[in-house]
Amino acid sequence: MKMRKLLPLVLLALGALFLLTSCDAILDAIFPSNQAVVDVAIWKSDFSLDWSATYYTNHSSGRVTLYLTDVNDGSVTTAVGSWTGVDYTYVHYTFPFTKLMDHTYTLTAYYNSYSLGSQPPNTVFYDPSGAEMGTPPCSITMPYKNSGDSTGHSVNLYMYF
Amino acid sequence: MKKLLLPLAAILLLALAVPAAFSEAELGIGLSPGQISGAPDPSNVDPIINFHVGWTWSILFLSWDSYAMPDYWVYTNTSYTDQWGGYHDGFNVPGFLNMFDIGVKIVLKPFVGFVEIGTNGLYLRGGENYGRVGVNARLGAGLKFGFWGINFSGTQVFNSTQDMSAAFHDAAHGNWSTLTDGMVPTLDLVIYF
Repeated sequence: MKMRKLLPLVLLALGALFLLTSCDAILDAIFPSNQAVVDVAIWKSDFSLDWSATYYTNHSSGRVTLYLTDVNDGSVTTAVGSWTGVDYTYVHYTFPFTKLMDHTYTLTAYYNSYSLGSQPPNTVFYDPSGAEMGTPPCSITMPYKNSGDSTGHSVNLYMYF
Repeated sequence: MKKLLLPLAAILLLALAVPAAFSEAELGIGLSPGQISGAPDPSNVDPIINFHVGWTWSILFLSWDSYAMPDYWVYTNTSYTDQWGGYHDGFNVPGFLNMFDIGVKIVLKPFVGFVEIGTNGLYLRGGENYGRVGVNARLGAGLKFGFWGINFSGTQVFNSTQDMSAAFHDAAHGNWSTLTDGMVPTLDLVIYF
């Protein structure tokens, strides 16, 4: 009888222990590894009115349209976003892509400035080490494991206007 | 801190006042809708899986809920601008958002109701822990059928105990929106021991 009462507690303890010791394995099982977050940063000096509108008045500073092109199958994902963060140097527009395939991708960003209107497209992007991803138009082949993220789960990419 | 201790002491006293009719442990697994503002990628709406461990003694309810958060959520919530205007890139890895809560649970079979508050911690894949993820308040209800049940809860995450206290203050004055707007709903399947 005592054993019967103890069994649930043992199971509970084992469950908790499993969660505590297998965190990474569980996360790997739940989430796919081909993910990317693209940070499109707008430089304050070139777009000072956009930056000040965002930093001081919390207004929308403009809009970024980002095209993610799958070189292997030719498909294009369009992402449109407004600013997600602002600092002393940049206004940041962040775009997550969570289910990329083992394919090669290019990025093209358009910035429609609050004060200066539409800007020429940008096809240059960098990995977290600061390395430019090839000769423009840049490209990245997934999974990308040279991102500074030891897990190789996701990659941060950076574009600048 | 005093504002947090007072309700905790009240809960403990209530638990001691009621005869300990039962002591019960529970394990659960659940789903929350995935969300990200301005999501450009339709796949971002994948549901979030959570694991639940709880223990009830009388009406005292202790729980640990662990939400498996995707990379983009961790990245967004660990990126910040410091007081000098410097931007700090977040961690772009998945993680577990752990919520350690204490509260009151009332069981009038088959109905279950509970209210909890607690602190949060973020485990990052690879072994690091990230501290700045605030506190939470949870309101839930459910049905219990013998050894199993289902719970539906709403969890609100606050940056600090001051923010949570202000939200409760607003709610006490009839303005529930700061407490309930943006609450994360969760549906849990629970097994009782």
